[in-house]
Amino acid sequence: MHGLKWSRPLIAVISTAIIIVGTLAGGQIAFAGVNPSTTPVGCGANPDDQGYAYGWWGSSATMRTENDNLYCYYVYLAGHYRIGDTYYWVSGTWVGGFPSRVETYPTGNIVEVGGSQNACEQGWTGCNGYASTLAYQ
Amino acid sequence: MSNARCTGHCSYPLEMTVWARSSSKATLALVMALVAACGSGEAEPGSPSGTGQTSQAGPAGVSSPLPIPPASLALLLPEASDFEKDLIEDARISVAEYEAAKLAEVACLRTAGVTVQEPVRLDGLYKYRLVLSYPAGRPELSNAARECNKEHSGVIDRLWAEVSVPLYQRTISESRRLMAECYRRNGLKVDERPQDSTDPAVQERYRACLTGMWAALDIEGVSFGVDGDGRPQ
Repeated sequence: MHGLKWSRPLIAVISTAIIIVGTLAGGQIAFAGVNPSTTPVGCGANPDDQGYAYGWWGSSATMRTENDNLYCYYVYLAGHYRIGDTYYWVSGTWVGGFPSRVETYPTGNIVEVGGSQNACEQGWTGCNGYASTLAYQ
Repeated sequence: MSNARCTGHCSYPLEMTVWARSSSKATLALVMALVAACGSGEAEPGSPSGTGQTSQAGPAGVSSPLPIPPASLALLLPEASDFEKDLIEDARISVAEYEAAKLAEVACLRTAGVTVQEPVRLDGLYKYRLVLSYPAGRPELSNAARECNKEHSGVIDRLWAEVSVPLYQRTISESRRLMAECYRRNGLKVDERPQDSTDPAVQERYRACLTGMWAALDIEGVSFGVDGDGRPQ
């Protein structure tokens, strides 16, 4: 598990960097109205395909965690959105009790949404590192 | 366990580089003095403290310091800043101490030039949900935000999330109940996932449920699903 613990943040950083670089290069990724990006996380040695963080445009831009992993007691979610040239960052918070959570951002001309997620077992063990997601309208 | 060190770190852009550290002892003294001056530390969620004041006297039991489980303290204490260590060295944490940490973070942010949106206050989840803003092209501000969190509340955030579970779990359960009730009143079906609907009429009804629940529980911007969606509680 040590390999996983060290590699997941790296993967998240690289993935985000690829998206950013791709965007800067003109390859903007359009995700309007669809589930744009899922980044699974897990806890300890348990399956990592049951927790997700992703941005979504539905009735509003949101960042979500879907936690079906009963080993993940604490879930961290932070997010940001961009309107024009201004970034808005919603500070990350940890919530315990196996939560699935939605952070809903104000209605308006949001053109980018992103965030990061982590999850830990009770006792703050089994944290597999932060996973990030970024999506554009 | 090293991955959990990065509370707050990853919530800001990766490319940022500015240092905004403040004297932990001096900041703690100032913030706790402010808490004392406000006659508080006994908080009730939702009381405005956008001017830097803590929330005012709250429900019985909430004002008492909550014990930090020894295992968590042992695990996280080495990661704590000196400022945070001063707050948790008695192995307990109170609402007032949590608020002191978050208000110190806010002061640090503003000193560094980061705009912190109002209101700044304890919400219905007994947490501070800070919304920061800054213009594109100012990466140093994001790094300042990361450092301010690390210095003042990175570890406190986690310990508070742990000890305050009994406080906010009631709010989470109530939010799910209120959403289910609103669904029924408005003809929304849980299994049709109205939150993802592309139908403007459904979106409007769902949004009305959401904003009503936010107002009722003072948890603007946050939701936890709806009774009947199969999620664990």
